[in-house]
Formats: sequence, C-alpha cells, structure tokens
Amino acid sequence: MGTFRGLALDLSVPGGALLPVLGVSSLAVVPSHRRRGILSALMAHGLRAAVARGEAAAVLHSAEYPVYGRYGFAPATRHGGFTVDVTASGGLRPDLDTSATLREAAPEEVRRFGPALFDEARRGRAGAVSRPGWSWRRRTGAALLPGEEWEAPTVLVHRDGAGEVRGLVAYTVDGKWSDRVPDATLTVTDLVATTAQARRALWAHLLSVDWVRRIEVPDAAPDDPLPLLLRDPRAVRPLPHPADCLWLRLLDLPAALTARTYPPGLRLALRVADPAGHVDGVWLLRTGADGSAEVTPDGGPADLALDAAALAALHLGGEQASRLVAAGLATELTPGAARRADTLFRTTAEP
Amino acid sequence: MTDAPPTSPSPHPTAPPTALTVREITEDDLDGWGRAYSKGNFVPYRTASLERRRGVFEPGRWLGA
Repeated sequence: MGTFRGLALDLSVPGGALLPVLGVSSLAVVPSHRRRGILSALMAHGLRAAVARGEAAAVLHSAEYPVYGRYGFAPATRHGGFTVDVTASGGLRPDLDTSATLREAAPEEVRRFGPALFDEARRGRAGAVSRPGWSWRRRTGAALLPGEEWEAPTVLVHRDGAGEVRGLVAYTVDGKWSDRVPDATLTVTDLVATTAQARRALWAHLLSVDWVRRIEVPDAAPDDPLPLLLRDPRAVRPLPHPADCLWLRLLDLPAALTARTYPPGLRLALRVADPAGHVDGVWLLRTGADGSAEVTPDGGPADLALDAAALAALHLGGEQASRLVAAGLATELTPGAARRADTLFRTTAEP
Repeated sequence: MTDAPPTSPSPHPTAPPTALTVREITEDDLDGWGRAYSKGNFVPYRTASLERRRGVFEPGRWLGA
C-alpha cells in the first residue's frame, strides 16, 4: 500500500566536506489507503534506519510543499535555472580570456572521468548531492528508464594546460526554424567546471553555436556568475521554477553541524524541538579559529529556539535566522541571537 | 517490523488508526512494490521496470507498508 526507497548519498556542506545522507525516494501511497498514516510510518521507519546506518541527515525533492515539514524537513537550497537570449547577450565580455581547446567526448569517456570531475566541483558548492553510478549511466544513455527516449547530447570537455579535465558541458539543440530563419534553443543538460577558466571557455562555446537563439539551463546555482560574464546581463532571465530545491532533515546534529565550517570565534546555544527525537534538545555550538565547530548537548539557557525543520533550513547557509524569526519560525531568547546565527550560518556562495 | 500509528500532525483528517506493518522488502517483493509505487504516483506500471529495479535493489533500503 506504500513504498519508500532510501538511497545512500552524500551531500556537500559549506567548507567542502561530504556528509553521508539518506536520499528519500519513491515515496508513494496508493490512493485507496491515503490519510491513514502510511506515509508517516514509512518515513519514521526510514529515518530510524538511516540513523542506525550512521547517515547524519536526509534529503529529498518535494512534489508538494506542505507534506514534509512535519517530518522535520525544510528547503535548504533554491533552484536557479535560467534562459539566455543569445543575440541580446552580446556574447561574453571582450576582456575575458576564453582561449581553450574543447574536445568532444564519447559517453564511455564521460562515465570514466565525469564522477571525479563532478565530485571535485561540488565541494565548492554546498547542497550538491552525489550522483550514484546509475545516474551517470542514465545521463550517458547506458541505462534508461522504461519508456524513456534517449537523445544523445553533444558533450564537450575542457582540459587545462597539463591535460587535466577541468570541465564538461552536455547539451542538445532542437534545430527549430521560424519564418525561414534559424530559431533554435540549446538546452544544457549538464555543466560541470572546477575552474573559472573552464566555465568561461564552455560558455564561450555555448554562445557561439550556430543557429541557436536562446540557451536554457534548467539546473544552475541561484547565484551562477554567468550574467556577469555577458556584455548584457539582462539577457539572462530566471526560469519559472518553484523556489525550493533540495529539502534537508538533520538526524545526527553533532555530526551534521560539525561537518561544515563557520566564521571563527562564535558561540550559540540552540534549543531545538523535534517530536521525532532525532535532534531534540539544547545544543551549544562553538566555533574555533580554524572554522571548525564543536557541538555539545547543553543544560544551560539557549539563545535561539527553533524546530528541526527551521534548523535544517539554516544548515547549508541558504536561509537566515533573522528571516525565520520575522516569520515566527524561530524565537530569539537572548538579544541579538538571530544576528549571531545569521553570521554563523551564512556562506559566501549560495547553496 | 511494526510501527506505531503516526503521531505527527496532519493537515488532513485521518481515518481511525489501524494495524500497520512497515518492513524492508526482499527482491521477491519488487513486483508488488513497483505496482504500488505506480498506483501511488498515477503512472502506468511497466513490466520492464522490474528488471531495472532488480539492478539497483539494495536490501534494507527499500521499504513497503
């Protein structure tokens, strides 16, 4: 009557560490048995099993916003896809060095070097989830879902002066014409770069593909620097995504909070409410000079009170404690606690 | 393994609690699991999906209720 699949994944956190997490997938309840607590029972069982395996948190993509907050999940990252009007963009700024040799890569090559390239790139961006082997097989046409059609993308690879792969882009072009002139849309299905030089070189190529009038990037970081690389940043328009992307639920609070880095020399006591019990209690977070943190259960007074979902929203730096307080989702127990929490959890790059 | 009835607040009225069993499924359960998943997501069940699920099945990580 109900299904649940738990994937073994890891999540990049601020500072570049990878946190082992449960990927909640394939949650479903047959229509005739809804409103009977089946989803809650599956989730409770799945989260307990994750704790037993040592997974410090759980992640999911939510089909419907209101469902998962009651299980301690909250949106921790935002979608950032966009469309580029190629003609209006004027191309890349002329002062940029985009000299590079790009080479086309076959699917088997992508399966060979893609995973390591992606893992290196995502350490610079909190909130990126690992891609299991089957994900790379699916992306390269080696393993498709039943009924899924495969359109082989063009894949180009950027190597640095030493011959190391520093970036790849995969895309398709629809080849459309309008009024007897080319009017094609190029869709980027994957763009991974470990250096700014590789990213610029890949974009220089994308903006020069013949017949292409617009470029769609369905998945991108919300603060992707592309607009600033163009002569006219107004050529970039956000896609109408839902605001939330990855939902996070902390399960082992000390493991999750100490995995990331923080500004040095701060101290904050959090009173966390979690009816499921995983992260319930008062926790003292102290940061060291090197950006590491120490998290201990604490019997003293707390500075900030919030529930497990609100803490999950803060964890990757994508939400502000002061905004949660303004929304009634967190309570300041000592003056200035929300501002201190803002400083503590804020990150340079948006997750 | 049997789980207690849920205690989490729900935005919807719930039916009276009934005995509910949640357990880790085995490879033999994959066909029924796939049918329940398809029904719950309003998508047609494809027999071809069984072979794919066998390829990615991890005991202990797939649950059924």
